[in-house]
Amino acid sequence: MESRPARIATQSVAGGEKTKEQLQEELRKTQEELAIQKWGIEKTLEGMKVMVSEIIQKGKGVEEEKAKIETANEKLESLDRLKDEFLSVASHELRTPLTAIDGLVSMILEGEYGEVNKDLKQPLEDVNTSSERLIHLVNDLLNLSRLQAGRLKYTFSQTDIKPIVEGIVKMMQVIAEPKGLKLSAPNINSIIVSADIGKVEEILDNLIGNSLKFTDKGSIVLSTKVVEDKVIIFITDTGIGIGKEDLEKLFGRFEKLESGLGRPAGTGLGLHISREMARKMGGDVWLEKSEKGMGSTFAFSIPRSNSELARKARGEIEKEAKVHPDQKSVS
Amino acid sequence: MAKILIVDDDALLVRMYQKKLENDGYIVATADDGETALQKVQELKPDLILLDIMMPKVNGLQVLAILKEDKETSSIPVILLTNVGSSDEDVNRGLELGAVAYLVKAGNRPSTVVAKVKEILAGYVHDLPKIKS
Repeated sequence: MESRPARIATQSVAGGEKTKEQLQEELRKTQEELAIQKWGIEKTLEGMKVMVSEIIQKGKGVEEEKAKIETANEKLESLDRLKDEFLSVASHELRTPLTAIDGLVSMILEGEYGEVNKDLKQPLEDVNTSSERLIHLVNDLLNLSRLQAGRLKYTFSQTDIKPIVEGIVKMMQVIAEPKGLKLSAPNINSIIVSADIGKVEEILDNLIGNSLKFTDKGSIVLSTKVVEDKVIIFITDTGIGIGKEDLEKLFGRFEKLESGLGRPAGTGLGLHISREMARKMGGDVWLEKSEKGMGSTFAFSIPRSNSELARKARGEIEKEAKVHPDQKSVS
Repeated sequence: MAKILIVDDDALLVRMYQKKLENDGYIVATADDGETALQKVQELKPDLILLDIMMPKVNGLQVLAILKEDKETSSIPVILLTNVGSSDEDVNRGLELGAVAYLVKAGNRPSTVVAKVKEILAGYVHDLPKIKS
């Protein structure tokens, strides 16, 4: 140790030379800073290690959750298939005895087993009505299960909508007339559409049938409107109408709105099936407007022939046919 | 007096169709399986056969094939009775084999069945129907 600072020749720094002690001081400071930084980095590294292991843990957790969800999904899918199969088998099994009941009672009423006692007529007719209703229900259930499994068959053809509508209207006069209702389709456009005729008829049957069910007096009128690539059929009745509170439920699968006393109950499947079928063909079914006590207007749209919409609908059906060997589609 | 043979393993349904047909003046015989059916055809020489496709042991299509191969029985008109569960292939096969028509049992009243029988017997054999969707 020297008593006085000695000058040491060092590299000149801008601003002058430095003493040995100054340099030592700088070195010490730098070492301190480095130690602090090293400590900081180590701390950060530790922190990162903790984070990484947490992430790994979370990752494992996510993988487990994912596996659980996949298992649950598979279970749901197989339950869904089971339900469809059950519906299908049940419907088939139910049909045979129902056909027997329906057939036999109708034969009894027609006198095939001898003259029917007057007192028995009404109860037998009631049995017949009930068995008819059961048959419709079973058919609806069967359709629903097929619809859900994508197995309803669609056969597309290019056809004029006018004779189809007029034909159904004519057929349904037998229900309208006794009720004193005026059912008409005065100005149907003659337009070629692309659709499965059978399904179109079923949908019209359902919509007009609903109107007939819920209209006590007045009229049911069908009209058409051409909108770009679609034809819309409107069914307007002067019936009891549908309140706002029921609007949401209208097209639900098993919803039946309060039909009131004395109205023949439906299965609640009709509108849902009608809409699904219409959509499969590239169209739609919806409630255009309604007011409680005033009546309702339902709408049913169908793609025009040679429209992009029609081509798309057929394309979808054909794609499905490849996936479901059961489903056949012919155009 | 036309003779009808009903071949179906559902005794209840058979009774129903038989009643309606007999009431309408036909002579009716029945068989509940393929073997009995072939026997009855020989015995009765029916003018028309209502044939169920789905039967145990010898199924309807096999019976049909045998009937059509035998010169003596090949000209008897056959109406296929099907269930909704029958596949389209089965029905089309039946039509190919020579059945003149098919009827879905479920949902058809006996009067419809009889109307069809009358139609066929009266000679109105339309073009072979193809299965519609």
